[in-house]
Amino acid sequence: MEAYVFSNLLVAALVVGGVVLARVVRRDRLWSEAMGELWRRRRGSILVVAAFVSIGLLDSVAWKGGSVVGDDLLASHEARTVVDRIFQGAKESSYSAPLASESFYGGEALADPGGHWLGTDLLGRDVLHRALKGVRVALLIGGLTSAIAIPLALLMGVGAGYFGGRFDDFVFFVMSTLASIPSLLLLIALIMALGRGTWQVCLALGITGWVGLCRVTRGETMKLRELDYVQASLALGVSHARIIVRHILPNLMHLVVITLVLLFSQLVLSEAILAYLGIGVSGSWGEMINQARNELSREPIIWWNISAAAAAMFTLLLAVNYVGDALRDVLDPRTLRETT
Amino acid sequence: MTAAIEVEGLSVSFPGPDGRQRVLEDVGFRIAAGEVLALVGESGSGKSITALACMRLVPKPGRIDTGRVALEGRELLPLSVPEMRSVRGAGLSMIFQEPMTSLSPVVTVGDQVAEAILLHESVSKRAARERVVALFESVGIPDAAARTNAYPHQLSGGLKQRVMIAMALSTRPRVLIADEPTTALDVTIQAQILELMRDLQRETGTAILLITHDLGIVNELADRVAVMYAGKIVERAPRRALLSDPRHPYTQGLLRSIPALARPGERLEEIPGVVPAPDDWPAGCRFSTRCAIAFDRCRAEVPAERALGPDRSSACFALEPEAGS
Amino acid sequence: MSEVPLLRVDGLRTWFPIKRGLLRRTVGHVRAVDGVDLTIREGQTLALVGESGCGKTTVGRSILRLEEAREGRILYRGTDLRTLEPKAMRPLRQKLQIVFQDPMASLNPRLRVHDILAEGLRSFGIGSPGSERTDRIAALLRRVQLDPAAMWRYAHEFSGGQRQRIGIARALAVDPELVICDESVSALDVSIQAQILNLLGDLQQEMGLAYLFITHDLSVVRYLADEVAVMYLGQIVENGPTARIFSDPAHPYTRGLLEAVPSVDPDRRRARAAVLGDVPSPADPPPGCRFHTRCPERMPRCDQEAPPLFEVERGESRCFLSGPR
Repeated sequence: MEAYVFSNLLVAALVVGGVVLARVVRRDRLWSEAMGELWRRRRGSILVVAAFVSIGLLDSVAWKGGSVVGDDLLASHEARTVVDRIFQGAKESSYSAPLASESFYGGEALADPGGHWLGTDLLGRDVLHRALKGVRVALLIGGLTSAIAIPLALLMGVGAGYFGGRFDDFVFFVMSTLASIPSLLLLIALIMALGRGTWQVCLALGITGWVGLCRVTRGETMKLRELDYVQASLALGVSHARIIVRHILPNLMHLVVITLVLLFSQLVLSEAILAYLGIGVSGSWGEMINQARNELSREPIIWWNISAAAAAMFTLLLAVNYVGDALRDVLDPRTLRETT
Repeated sequence: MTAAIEVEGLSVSFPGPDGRQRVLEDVGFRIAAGEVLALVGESGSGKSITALACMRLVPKPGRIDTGRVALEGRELLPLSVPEMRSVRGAGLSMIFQEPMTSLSPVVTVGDQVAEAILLHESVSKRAARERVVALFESVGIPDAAARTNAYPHQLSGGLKQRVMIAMALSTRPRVLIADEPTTALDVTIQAQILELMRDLQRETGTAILLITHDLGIVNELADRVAVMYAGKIVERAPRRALLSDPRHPYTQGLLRSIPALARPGERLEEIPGVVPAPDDWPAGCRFSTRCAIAFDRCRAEVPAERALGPDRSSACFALEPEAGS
Repeated sequence: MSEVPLLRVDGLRTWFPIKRGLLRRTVGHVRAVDGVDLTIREGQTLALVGESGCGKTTVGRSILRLEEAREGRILYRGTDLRTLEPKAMRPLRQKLQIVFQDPMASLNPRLRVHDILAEGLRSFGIGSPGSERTDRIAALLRRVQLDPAAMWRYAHEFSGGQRQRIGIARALAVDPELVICDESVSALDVSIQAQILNLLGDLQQEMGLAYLFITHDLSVVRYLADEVAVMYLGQIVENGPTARIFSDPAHPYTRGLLEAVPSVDPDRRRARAAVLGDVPSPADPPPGCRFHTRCPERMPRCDQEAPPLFEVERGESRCFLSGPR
C-alpha cells in the first residue's frame, strides 16, 4: 500500500475515533461538564487549536492526478494533499520577499507575482505552503509519540503502583536509569541506531518521554489503591484486572489528558532541537528553522522563512498550553468529585 | 458591665448559583468575662462560620453582610486590616479542630509560640522563650524545655493540641474561641484536654466561645449554651436547664438521639430527614421540614427568638406564650 | 446442634514492616495486631473498642484478608481462611462484608449508584444481568430507606448519611452473614448516626446478620453490642458481655475509657482523666504490660512481666489485678 493511501485511511480512522470519543464523553456527565467549562474559559485557544488540526487533517488527505498549473508534469503523478492543491502557484527559482513581484536577488519577474504571501525560500518554494505543511508534521510528532509513550507509562505506572513488590522495584529502576541519562544524548543515540525516519524519531521521543507520566500514575495509583472503594471491591471478590479498568484507570484519565496536552509542546520543541542537529523529521518547522539559520546573517536580511516557522510554532504551542492550563484547573479532582 | 464579647445581628453569605446565599442569619450573643458559652450544632448549622466571622476570617468569597462584633466594647468589624490583625491573637484568640494542619511543619513549636508573643508584645526574644517554657509547663507538656525544640510531626495529637492552647493563651486574650478543640483526639486524651481547659479557664478568667457538636463536652465546660440550626440560633439556656429541660424540638431531638441515653435494644429516637443545605432552606421555620409538631404557621413564617424565662429563649411558635398570659 | 461459631479468630498477628534506607531494608515492625482472639456467633454483635493506633481496623482488614496476617487462624465456620488460595477464598468473600467509615471515600465518585451496587452482584453471579439485577438493586435501596430512583445518580450527589446507606446496601447486596462495620457511624452527625444505628439494628433482625462493630465510641457500643472486646496497642485487654463491661469493668484501661467519656447528665460532670500521658508507638510497645506507662494502678511487676488474659467472672482481663492473688 502506498504511503498516501495509508495516510488517508489513518485520517478516516482518526475522524471516526474522534466522533466515538465525543459520544462517550457526552454520556459521562462529569467529563461533559468539565469540557463545557473548558469551552467557556478558553474559546479562543480551542478554536486556534481546532484550526490547526483542520489544516493538519487537510494535509493528510491526498490523491494523485487532478489539475496542475503550468507544465509541472511531475506533480500530476505525485499524490498531493488538499493543502498542496491550494498552493498550485508555480515554483519560483529562489528567494522572494512576501508579496513581492520580483525575485530577491536579481529582481527578475516572478512566475506568480504577489501570490506568495510569505515569500519563497532558497529553492523557491512558497513559505506559507511549507509552514502549513509543518502543521501536520507537528501534530504527527505529538500524536504518534503520545500513542507510544502513554500506553507504556500507564502499563508501567499502574502496574508498579498497584502490584508493588518486585515489579515496582523494576519500574523504579528503569525510571531512575532513564532519568539519569541526559535525554538529548539518549535521543541522538536512539535515532542514530534506529535510523532517520518519522516513526523512528517518534519512537525515540516516546522512549525518552514516558517517565514523567509514569511517575505520576504510579503515585496516583498507589493512593487510589488504598481508597475504601477499591478495598470494598476487593472484599467483593472483584478481580484485579476489573478493579484497574473500572476504578483505577478512570480516575487517572484526567492526569493522562493533562499530560498529553502539556507534553505536546515539549515534544514539538524537542523535535526542533533534533532538527537543529540534523536528525529531525522532514518537513517540520524545526527543519525550516534550521535551514533558515544562515539567512539571518545576510545583508539585506532574509527574515520571512524563519519568522513563518517560528510564528506558526509559537501560535500552536501557545494555544495548546493555554488550553492545557485551563484543562488542569477544570479537571481538578476536587471539581470532578463535587461534594456539598 | 461590658461583655467580654458581644455579637449582634451577624449575617454571612456566600455566592451561589442564584446570587448570594446566606449561610448565617441574624446571629447574636454575649459572653461575660470569665464565662464559657457553648455554640452547639451539627454540620451545616453555621457554628464554625460564626467563629470565623468573629475573627473576621471568613474565607473569600464569603462576606459578612450585616451585624456587629464588639470585643470589650470595641467594635471589630469597622477596623482596618492592620488594626484587626493586632486584635487577633492578642485580644481574641482561636484554637482549631485539626492540630495537624494548624501548626507549620517546618518551624519548631517553641518558635511558633514565641512568634505569637513577639508579634503582640515588645519583649526580648529571650524573655519570650522563657515564657514559652512556662506556658508549656502550664499546659501539661512533660519535659517542657526540651519540647520547645520539637517539630510538630514529632508530637502526638494531644501534645499538639496543648501547644495550640499554649499559643492561644500566650498573649493573655480576653476571649478564646475554641472550634471543636477535641474532636480529632482520642477520648482519653480528650479528657485530659478538657480538664486542662477547665483549669486554665478558671485561672486566667478568659471568656470562651466553645464550638462543638458534642453535648457531653458542653456539659463538661459550658456555663451557657446556644443551639444552632441551619444558620440561626434556635435555643438559648444555661447548661443545666438545657440538658435537663430542653424546649426546642430540635434540641429535644438531638438529646434523644444520643445513644448514651438509650437503653440497649431499644430503637434510638431519630430526627427524620437531613439538615437542609443553605440553598435549600425551607420558607418559614428552617426546622419545620423535620419537626414532629410543625403546624401551618411554622411553614409560613420564620419564628423570632422569644424569652421563655430569665436567661432562656427559643425560636419556636409552639413555645410562644399564649396571648394574654 | 454444632457449636461452631460463625467466626473465630485465634492468635492473630499482623505486623507491618518498617523500611529504611536506599535498599529498603526492614528495620523493625509495627505490631498492629499482636495476638488477638475473638469469637462471633451467628446473629450476634461483637464490638471491638479502642483508640487510634490500637489495631482494631487492622483486625477487621486481616479477617477479610485485605491485609495479610503473619500468624494466626481465621476460622469461618471452622475453615481457616488463611490457608485458602485466592480462588478458594472468593466464594467465601460473599459471606464476609465490610462497611467503611468515610462516606466520602467509600464510594467511587465516577460511578452511578446502580453500578456501585451491581458490582457485587456481578462478581458473584447473583441475578441475571439487566432488569433482574436492576430490580434487586431497587429492593436494596428501599431496604436502606432510599428512593430506588437514586440508583441513576452519582454517589457524590448524596449527603453523608445517605452515602453510608449506599455503603450498607453494597455490603448487603451479596447476602453476607457477617458485616464488619469499621467506624461506620463515626463520621456522621449525631442525629444521622441515630438513623443509621437504627437501620443496622433493623437489618440485623431482618436478615440474621452478625456484626463486628469496630469503634472508639463507647456509647454506641453500649447501645448495639452483645459482647465487647477492648483493644490496646495490638492486644485485647478485656472482653465480656456488654452489660458487665459497663457496670463492672475489670481492666484499668477499660475503666479509664469509661470514665473519660463526658456525660450529658447535668448532675454528673467531671469526666476524669484517669489515663495519663500519650499512647506509645505500636512499633515499640513498652515492656511488660503494654499499658503500664499510663496506668493509674501500676505495680512494680507491671513493667517486667506481660500479663496474660485472666478469666474474670463473665469474660477476661489482661491485668495482674484481675488474676489470682
